[in-house]
Amino acid sequence: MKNKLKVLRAMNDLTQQDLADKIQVSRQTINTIEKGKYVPSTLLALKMASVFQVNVLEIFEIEESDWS
Amino acid sequence: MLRIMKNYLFPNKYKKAGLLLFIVGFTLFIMGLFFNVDVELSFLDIRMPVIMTNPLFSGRQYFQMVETNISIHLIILSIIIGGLMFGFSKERIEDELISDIRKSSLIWAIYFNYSILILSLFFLADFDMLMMTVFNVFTLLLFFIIRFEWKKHQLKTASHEE
Repeated sequence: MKNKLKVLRAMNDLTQQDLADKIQVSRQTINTIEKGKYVPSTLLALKMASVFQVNVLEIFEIEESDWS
Repeated sequence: MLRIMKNYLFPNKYKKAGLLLFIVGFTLFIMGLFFNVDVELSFLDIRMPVIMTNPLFSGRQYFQMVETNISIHLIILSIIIGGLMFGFSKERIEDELISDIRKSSLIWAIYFNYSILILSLFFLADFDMLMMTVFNVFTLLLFFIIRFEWKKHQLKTASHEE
């Protein structure tokens, strides 16, 4: 799964810590999601979308390899 | 909605007390077992009711009063309660990634613990085998705690902001 979290953070001028605080997770969690090492729950994805005021699909994108 | 769901964890403030209990109990246990330190306190000689007892030279008896020293009971209690409190208290920020690491550490610890038990079944004998089963009272907790703390440490060091 690809994500545009880093770009969206930069556009909204938020650090990893800022975003983490807004959605009640640790900075490490944001970091692992950004690196694509951890796939967040639907709830967390929706919270992020709500913070950036975008659609979830504008943050996360499914890849071919996710289907196998 | 998720907030009212039970997660079976203690509040974060129990973590430190748990660690203290665990270390104290574990130290006393090891000292008593391997260094012949007398960890039995005489005022803990008590008579207590038991459901079942099997003395050396008589048969099994039910619902008896027995004379015993409960020092070792308290030490084991302190290891188990302390270990549970330390291992299963919420982190400062208990988010879904931490829950994920917690669960995978628990699964890993169960596999590891049983692997050790199976190995000792075949490579240890008599008294040493018996000792291994005694250790198994808390090795599961110990392996879980080590694995969980190690994974959290890895997470912390691997996530410097770029």
